[in-house]
Amino acid sequence: MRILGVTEDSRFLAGGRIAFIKLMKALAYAGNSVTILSSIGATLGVVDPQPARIIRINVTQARIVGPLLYMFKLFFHLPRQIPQAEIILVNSGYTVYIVALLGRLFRRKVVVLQHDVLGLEYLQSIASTTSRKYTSVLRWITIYTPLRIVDGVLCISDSTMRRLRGMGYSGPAYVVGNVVG
Amino acid sequence: MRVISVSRLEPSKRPYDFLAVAQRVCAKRGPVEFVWVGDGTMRMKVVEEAKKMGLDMVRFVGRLSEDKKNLLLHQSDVYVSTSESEGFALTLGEAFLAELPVVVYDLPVYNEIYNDFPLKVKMFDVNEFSEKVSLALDKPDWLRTRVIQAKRFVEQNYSYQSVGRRATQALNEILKLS
Repeated sequence: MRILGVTEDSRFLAGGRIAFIKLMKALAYAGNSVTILSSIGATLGVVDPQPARIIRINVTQARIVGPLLYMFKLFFHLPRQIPQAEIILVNSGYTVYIVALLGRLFRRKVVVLQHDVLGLEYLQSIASTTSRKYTSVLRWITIYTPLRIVDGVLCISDSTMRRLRGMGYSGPAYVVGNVVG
Repeated sequence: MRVISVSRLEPSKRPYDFLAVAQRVCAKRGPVEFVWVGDGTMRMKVVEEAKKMGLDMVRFVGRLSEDKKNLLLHQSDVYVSTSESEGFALTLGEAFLAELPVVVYDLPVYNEIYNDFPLKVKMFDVNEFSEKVSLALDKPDWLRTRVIQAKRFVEQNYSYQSVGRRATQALNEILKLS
């Protein structure tokens, strides 16, 4: 199977991003042809994606500006990569919307890797400043609303799948776990 | 002796609880090094708080490469996570691979992923957390046995091969759906 993986990155190292690259690596070990599209960020040099291939888009690491620039650049990179893939796996995050829309345009199935499922109320409660409260709303919308238009979800645990179902997601979902080590 | 945690410094990871546990364990047992690996938006505030609390034995080493992190895990005695929400908790598995006992808050997800291998603590009870860390530092035989079983469990269920196989099967099934 030819798989395109899409994930965000930032200056902070997050378990979910490491897990995504390791999953893509596991898919490559399983005999699939895997390409990952990501930005410059903290996972660079931390996880070796081989035998998967990785393309890192150069964007600033600044908060808000970095993600916006990455999303803008994805509009140019995705149309080149999507036609070469049979299926697209996108890491849960702000890129899901763009990938889901372009995936539909190119008639490719789009699957989301879902990590933790956090409610909006919870995200609001841990936001320390007003601007963070606003960005948490934006983040929640960009992560969870596009699940309505994707073709399936891979969950890292039963707990994630249960919470996803609790939020109203009724599409195909599978628990695959995470690579440890 | 060293207690380690690997996580982003974010509110949901409850780094202040980590400081409270460090304070209690050191008050009871004398100097034990507490190391937090990982960076985040709370770093400045948490480092400042540790200074205010006079916790000289607590170190925030920031982000490390996988190799350095794994080396530090192997050089530690106990792994802790004060996180209040997790989807999987990858680092617990890494701690088990390094043969460390693990102390965590009692989140349902840990049972699903790691069975009863971690030592679990009632949510936000830093006193019980400190007691369990102290117990783990004593390394009783039953806990050593449990850690070895946990290591085998992680190797069998969360290797590249087993996850790659499950994910390939799932993607193939999604591709077949009309």
